Amino acid sequence: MGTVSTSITNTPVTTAGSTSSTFKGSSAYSSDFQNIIDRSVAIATLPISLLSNQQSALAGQSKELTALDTKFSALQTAVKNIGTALSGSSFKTDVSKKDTVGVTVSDGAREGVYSINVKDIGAYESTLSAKNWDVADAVPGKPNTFTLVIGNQNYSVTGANNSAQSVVDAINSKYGNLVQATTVNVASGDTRISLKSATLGRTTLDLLQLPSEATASGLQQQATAGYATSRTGATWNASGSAAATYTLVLGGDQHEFTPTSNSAADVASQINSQYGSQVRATVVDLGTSGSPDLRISLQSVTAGALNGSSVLDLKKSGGASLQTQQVAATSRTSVAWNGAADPEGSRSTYNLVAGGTKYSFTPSDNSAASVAEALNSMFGAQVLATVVDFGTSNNPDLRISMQSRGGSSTTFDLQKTTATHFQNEQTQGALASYEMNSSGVTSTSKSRSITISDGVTAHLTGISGDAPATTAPVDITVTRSTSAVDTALTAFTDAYNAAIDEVDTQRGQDAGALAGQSVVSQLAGLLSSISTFSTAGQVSGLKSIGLDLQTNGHLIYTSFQFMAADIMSSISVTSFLGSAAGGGFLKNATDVLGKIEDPTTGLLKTSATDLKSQITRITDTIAKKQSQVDALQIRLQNQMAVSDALIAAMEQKSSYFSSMFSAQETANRMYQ
Amino acid sequence: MQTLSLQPIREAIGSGEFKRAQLLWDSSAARLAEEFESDGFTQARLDEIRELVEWSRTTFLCDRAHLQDQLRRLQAELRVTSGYQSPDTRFGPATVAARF
Repeated sequence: MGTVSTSITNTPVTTAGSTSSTFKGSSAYSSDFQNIIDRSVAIATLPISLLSNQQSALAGQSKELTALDTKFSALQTAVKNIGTALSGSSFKTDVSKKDTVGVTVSDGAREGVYSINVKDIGAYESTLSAKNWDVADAVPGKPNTFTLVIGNQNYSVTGANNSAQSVVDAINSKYGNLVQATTVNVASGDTRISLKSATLGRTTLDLLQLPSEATASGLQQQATAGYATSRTGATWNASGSAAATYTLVLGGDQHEFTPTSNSAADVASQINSQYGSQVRATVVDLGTSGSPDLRISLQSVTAGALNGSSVLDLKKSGGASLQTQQVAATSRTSVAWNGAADPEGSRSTYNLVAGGTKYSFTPSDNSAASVAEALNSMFGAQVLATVVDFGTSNNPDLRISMQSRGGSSTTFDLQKTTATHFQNEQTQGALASYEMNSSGVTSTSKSRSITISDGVTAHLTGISGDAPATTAPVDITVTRSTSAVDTALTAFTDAYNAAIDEVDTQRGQDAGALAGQSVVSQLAGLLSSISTFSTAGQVSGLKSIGLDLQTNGHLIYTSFQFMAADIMSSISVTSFLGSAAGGGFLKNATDVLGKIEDPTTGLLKTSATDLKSQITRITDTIAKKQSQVDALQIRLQNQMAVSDALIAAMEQKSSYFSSMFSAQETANRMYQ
Repeated sequence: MQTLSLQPIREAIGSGEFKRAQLLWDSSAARLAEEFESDGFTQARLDEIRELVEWSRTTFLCDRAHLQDQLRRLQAELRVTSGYQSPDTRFGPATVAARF
């Protein structure tokens, strides 16, 4: 009985027609019956033979596709390697003053010449314990929980014990990305903790120990009705040599006044002087020190409506409203803010109590401005803190008012706790500052690693020029290696030609199993689109970089031609080659090969999958038909067996009668 | 005679530019000697110089302690990567050899 192999890749599948003489009858016609069975089975097996042939052909095509896949996969790798040769790893850098700047190059870098004038490499803020670290247990046998202050943020730190090393280990393990802590042996028997910020620039670094029974009381007075508040909608316009007359709207009342000048400070001062019992005006700077953005903030002295309305407005007489009405402030310090510095060895830390939730923070100092700044920078999504002056310029009476950002009815309170502090400033932090390419613009950075161009990073190690003058820029030259690209193009040429040759084995007189299949012409077309790629520019085609397309479809690579083009204009060569994602030759080649090699949608992959399906279908069909043939054979054998038995029985009877007749005849002859 | 400002030295040490700080100290030493010969040092000036020297010493000690910590961390990472047979040659033994 013939069998069909289910292997669909390399092993040819065959069926064998059944020629075994399995039927053995006992009649004189048994061999005839056998012939009938054999003939019927042979006829029934004919379709199976055809299918087997188809299966073999498809398996042959599958094998050819695998060979093509190998070549195109190698070509894909060669294209990728061209990209690698153009990447950061093949770049070289030259720096005119190596003790000032170091340079690293990564992918995406381009050749170029840059200059950087390093004015300041910046400094890391660092603090040192004021004396030998020797902190007693607040609770005997239990390590203390310290508060690590970084900027305005408070972090809880608990070591295995109170020793300097344990505290340092706890800080580094939890907050090592923000601060580096270490122990320093300053003198015999004097070990302290040094904290160093992870980024450049001024900040607060401290270790606090809160009093064990801290019960901080609230500093703010809540006002459910809220204090009407408005603020100038745009940067205050102080133009005009002569002071204008302004209209101040306090709820339902309007008042006119003329300040000494149009400056925000003078306008605010005049409002406080004349109407300070109803409203307080404060100048607020929403900008930076280099670019101020002054606004006038108005806030009612008493909570609730003012003269029947909550509107606080300001306008130049006859002009438009200058103020934008804001959410009423629902919390304000009840007495003049105490901004006095903490006594030595102490530092105040605060809690913002929003609803029932406490958020701890530590401002840079106790001034109302610093506390408000810390609140806005850390909790600005929830609350807007403003300093309102209820006093005069000679005798200020500052209060902090708080408005809900989300317009909710959340109450806001402030609590202050004075803690023991351990660290003193050792080095003052400063941002790095530099000027690129003699632009006249000074930039600052929190890091000494500056990205000066895509893929090019300068690492600042010193200031330019001789101290103290810093006017001599450092030149940085980034160049690409020619040899790496040359090697990659050579390999690409070999891979391309191998792919062409493999495609050609399926065409022409001695074509392979894929002869006539559309996939062959599609592959040839796609390969051609790679070798004929062109674009606008000084280098517009492969021939310009030494890759010459022959009439037989092969590429010939001339290394010297590429090197000449690269020397003439490496930027043009880099631009022509491009990158796999960005553009140029590499993107075109990558996209084309993706159409061929993509594991899901690629031409070769879909063709192979399709073949596999066909082979599987044929294999199943062959198996079914073979089963039918086997069943037919058995049926015929059974039928023939019955017939043969019948005939054999008849032959027996015939023989009996023949012998009877013969005996009778003999007897008759004897008796005649 | 104009008093020499010691702030540039403090800034150079604070930013870790020890080489520049050394150059500044060397040039400042000559100027300070001239200042002393010319006008002598007031108590405040002496205190200022003394404070700078002491502060510099403490800052150097702190920086050295932080660098030693970094070296220890690198050595620990090297031991770990060696265990995985990392081919990264940036962290070869020569990198972490240092003396203070």
